[in-house]
Amino acid sequence: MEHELRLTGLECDSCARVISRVVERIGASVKDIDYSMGRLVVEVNSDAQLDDLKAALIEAGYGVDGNDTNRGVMARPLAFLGKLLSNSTDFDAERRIAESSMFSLLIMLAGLFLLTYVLQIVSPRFVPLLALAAVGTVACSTALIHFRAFRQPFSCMSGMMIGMTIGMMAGFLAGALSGAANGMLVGSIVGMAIGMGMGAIAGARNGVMGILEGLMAGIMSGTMGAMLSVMLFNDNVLLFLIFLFASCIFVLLGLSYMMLREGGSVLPSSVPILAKSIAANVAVFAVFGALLVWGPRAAFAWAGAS
Amino acid sequence: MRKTFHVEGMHCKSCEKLLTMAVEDAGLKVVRADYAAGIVEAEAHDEAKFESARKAIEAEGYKVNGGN
Repeated sequence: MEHELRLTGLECDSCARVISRVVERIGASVKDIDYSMGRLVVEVNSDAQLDDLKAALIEAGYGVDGNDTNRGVMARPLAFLGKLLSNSTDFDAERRIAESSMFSLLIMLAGLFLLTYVLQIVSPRFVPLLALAAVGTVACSTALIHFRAFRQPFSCMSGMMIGMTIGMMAGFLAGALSGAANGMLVGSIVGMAIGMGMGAIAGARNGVMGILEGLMAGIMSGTMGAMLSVMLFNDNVLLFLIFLFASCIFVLLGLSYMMLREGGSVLPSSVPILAKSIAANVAVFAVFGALLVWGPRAAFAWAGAS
Repeated sequence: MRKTFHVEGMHCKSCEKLLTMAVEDAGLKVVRADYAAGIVEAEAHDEAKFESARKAIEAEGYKVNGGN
């Protein structure tokens, strides 16, 4: 049967060919197409086929019969998230990385619970800091693992940006936590060390420039993170930390999305052995956590959430 | 394995969509298509498929340069 559709979002003459292709792939045929009016007349064999056709046109980015075009800034990220969370075969490697990260986080939080409330080795006042440390470790390592799973090179600009971002986020988060728990001196040194380390590992893909970019970011953010925590000591440090962590994690998620857009989906074979990643995550968290709880403490240091 | 095609004549988003569909119909997976950079990157298990991809792109009226 024949059916007429009103389409919006046709931007150029290629659109007419895109639309014809979409229609043919569904198995229907084009009877008439008027690009300037956005009018499409098709021959379909059933209502179900018509619905399939409308869905395909919307997915292609056109507005159908009054629906808005699906082209907002968030359209593609949300579509990616949808595919990641479903069990589609697309993004299999990314899904495995995300799953191992969630698993690492679970192990860390379970360990924290055990040590604090069951074995009572760790004082409960450290729980907020340690919980943030767990989340921060997983967020930074996920971005790094994702980046290192790409086999093809990134452009110089992108590589440096990625090295800088990972170094900066790691340094900020580590510096802020250690600054709060151990004071300014230890906090800035630890923040710088972790930031520089993560930054250099990430930047190494792009040679000396990349490493330098990562080191610089680590130096800057490690010191700044510690400084902010210490300066907020008479204010609400925990509230600041929550905001800081939320922002940095948002940036790291955006970074992974940027890598996906630029480098495409990762080949499943190039994902590293995930058990090693989980072990590394938990080990780093254990060492860093031990530093926060039992490390050197300056006169002004974390006494618990006020 | 993957191959990046440098395509001349991609001038808007719909060109990405068109070429993605054309290359997919030729039996390959499209990793990404970017009209600003003028590239279409495809993935296939067998080398011969890349030739079909190149022909599919050219059949739509675009020109393929070199490619690595």
